[in-house]
Amino acid sequence: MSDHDALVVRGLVKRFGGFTAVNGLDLSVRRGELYALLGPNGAGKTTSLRVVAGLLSPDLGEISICGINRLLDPVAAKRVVAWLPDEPMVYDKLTPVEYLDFVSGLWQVEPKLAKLRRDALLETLELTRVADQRCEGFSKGMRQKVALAGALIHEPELLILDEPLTGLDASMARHVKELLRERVATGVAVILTTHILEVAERLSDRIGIIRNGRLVCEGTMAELRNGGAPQSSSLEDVFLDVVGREEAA
Amino acid sequence: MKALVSGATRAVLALEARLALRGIADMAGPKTAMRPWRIAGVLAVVCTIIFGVSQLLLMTAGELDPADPRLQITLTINLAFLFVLMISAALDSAAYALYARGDYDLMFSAPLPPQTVLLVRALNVFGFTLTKAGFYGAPMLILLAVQHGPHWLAGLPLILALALSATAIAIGLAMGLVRLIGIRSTRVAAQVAAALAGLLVLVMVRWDAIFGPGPKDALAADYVANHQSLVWQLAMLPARAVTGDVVALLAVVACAALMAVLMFTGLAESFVRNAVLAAGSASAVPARARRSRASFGASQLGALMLKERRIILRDPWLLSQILMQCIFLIPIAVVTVYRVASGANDASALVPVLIVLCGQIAGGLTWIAMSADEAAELALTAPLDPRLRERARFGAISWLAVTIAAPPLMLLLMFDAWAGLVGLLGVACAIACGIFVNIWHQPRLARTGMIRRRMKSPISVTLLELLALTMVAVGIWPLLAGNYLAAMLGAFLAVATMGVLYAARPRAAA
Repeated sequence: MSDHDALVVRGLVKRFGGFTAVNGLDLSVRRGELYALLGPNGAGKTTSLRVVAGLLSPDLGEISICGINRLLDPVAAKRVVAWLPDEPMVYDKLTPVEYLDFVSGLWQVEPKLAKLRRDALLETLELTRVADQRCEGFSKGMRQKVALAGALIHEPELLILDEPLTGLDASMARHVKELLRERVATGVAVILTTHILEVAERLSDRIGIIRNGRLVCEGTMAELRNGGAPQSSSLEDVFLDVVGREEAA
Repeated sequence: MKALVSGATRAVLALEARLALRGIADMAGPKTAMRPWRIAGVLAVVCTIIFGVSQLLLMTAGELDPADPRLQITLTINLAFLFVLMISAALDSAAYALYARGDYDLMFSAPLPPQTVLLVRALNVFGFTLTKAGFYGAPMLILLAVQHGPHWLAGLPLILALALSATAIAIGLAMGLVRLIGIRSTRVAAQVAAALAGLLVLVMVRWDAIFGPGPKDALAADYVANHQSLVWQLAMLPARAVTGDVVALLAVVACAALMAVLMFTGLAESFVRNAVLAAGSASAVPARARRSRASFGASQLGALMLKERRIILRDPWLLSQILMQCIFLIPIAVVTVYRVASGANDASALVPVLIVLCGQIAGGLTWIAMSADEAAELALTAPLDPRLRERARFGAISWLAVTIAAPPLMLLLMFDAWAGLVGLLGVACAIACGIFVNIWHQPRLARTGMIRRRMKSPISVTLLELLALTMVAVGIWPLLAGNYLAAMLGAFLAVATMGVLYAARPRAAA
């Protein structure tokens, strides 16, 4: 692992009973890079990310986050990671302000700094108007924004996002994409899953395609096209080609 | 009737039956497959307990002569309490089945007349009420039939008729309450009513201990003197029916059927209107919270504890669950005061009951707090020592449990200092055991939806909790008599039990 790597996963295996969800996954994400992990339904994307985030224990393999061994020192690894699942993790009975204060408390962000960051995030994500309302009546998009603010408030070095644009309207989706690119420009590493291939194509620096719990193809868009697809191919063409080839094999 | 036999209705009925069976299977634990042996196992355990308790109650009943006015009065009082229990159970079930199922978009977009949806939902409520009442009443009636004659079996159709009446009344009540106070408050009201009905059952069981024989004797004397009056004739119909009077039984069944028909024909339109409104109630304007001075930033432990407290105290539904737990302490307090006031010097006999009840309250609170954690993954991804999460949950729950247990303990301390001190020690241990058994063994990552869907903690955890609390009570009991050696042995057993439960806990992710 080099100093440039924010995440290195080697030989990751995760089984649920007799079913192997992740089967020897190898991947790395560099600092200041946005990595899109793609794959058909049930390919093992979310399970892989949940293992990296510390929600599941792996059966085999190594995970290093910003040079910290995630299995040997999980608490230190979690300090530099934020996890945002497709179902937003917010509390119905807390307001966005309280939720962000709570997350800051968990990550032990200095209170004055936490307040500054909180107000800035509420402003950026257009949540100021509802900052003191309980989340129970929020739409899924609003809850997603609150959860995203929670993921960013402790300024993680590695952001793990599972379908982050689900439920957001077009303007907010663009806003979030810009926000992610800004964070990446400051050196934050982002790994995300998405089913919207156009988003992955436009947003990501590198793309990995996973099938049956194993990485079958990885690279920049240009590198993926060089893998045999015509230069004019879209990511959708490449994706369907790779997945189709794997199915045939 | 035509609606009942349509294919779509049968599909909805089959779905309801499947969900009901899955609910029974869920009592064995989370994510359990709906295997017949698992359902049969759960039912066998529950039946054994209820038949056992019924037999214990019957053993104190003595000779049962159906013509005895005192027996008729006792039966009438018990049936009245049972009917109240049925109405409260049906009300809670109706508020959920009619307005909180969240599948009305599917139901009303399907090619089904709305009346059919009401009919299926009403059958669901009826089935739930009948099952609950049946579990309480049927074992007692079967034992009575075996030991005192088959005429007692007339009580079974009577329970069916009472459940039908309770369903009709509860559906009418639920619809009225939803119109008056809204769906959320209706569910809270239904929960409180259920708790109060549970309290009534305890009063029914302990009637003679609390009130003595006076009130029943007075009612029996009035019945003997005025048994031809219309009021007594009507009031005694269920009691006569349960002892095998066919005419009385037919009258009760006819009355129940009439109520059900009136409910169905009169309320179908109103149901559709309210259900559509309730389906849109989720998008109501959210409550604005007052900014509090309490800070989340003091420490990780403080942040977690403040979050737990705020979530519980802001949720009326969770509060009603806690209220339900507390309400069962009232009879203990009443009986303690009553017995001490009437000169009996045996308040210490209540200590083991108090210990088990307080432990169950703490366990129930822990289950509620864990199930209400909608974002449990957040704490799991935070840079926390896993033991800190458990400590925070313990801290947040224990203060609530201690607050609830304090009044009966204070009463005990006032009346019997030694029993109070021993009770204090036992309650503290029981609260700790109740909390830790649930922290160790409740399914991880449960969400609020789970508590509202299942309404019950897995029976396996409940039994483990009961085992641990019984061990604490067994350990504390000899202390009351000053037998320190036996108390030490009991304490050792309790600690060993907790050690085994800790070692057997499912492992969580790092």
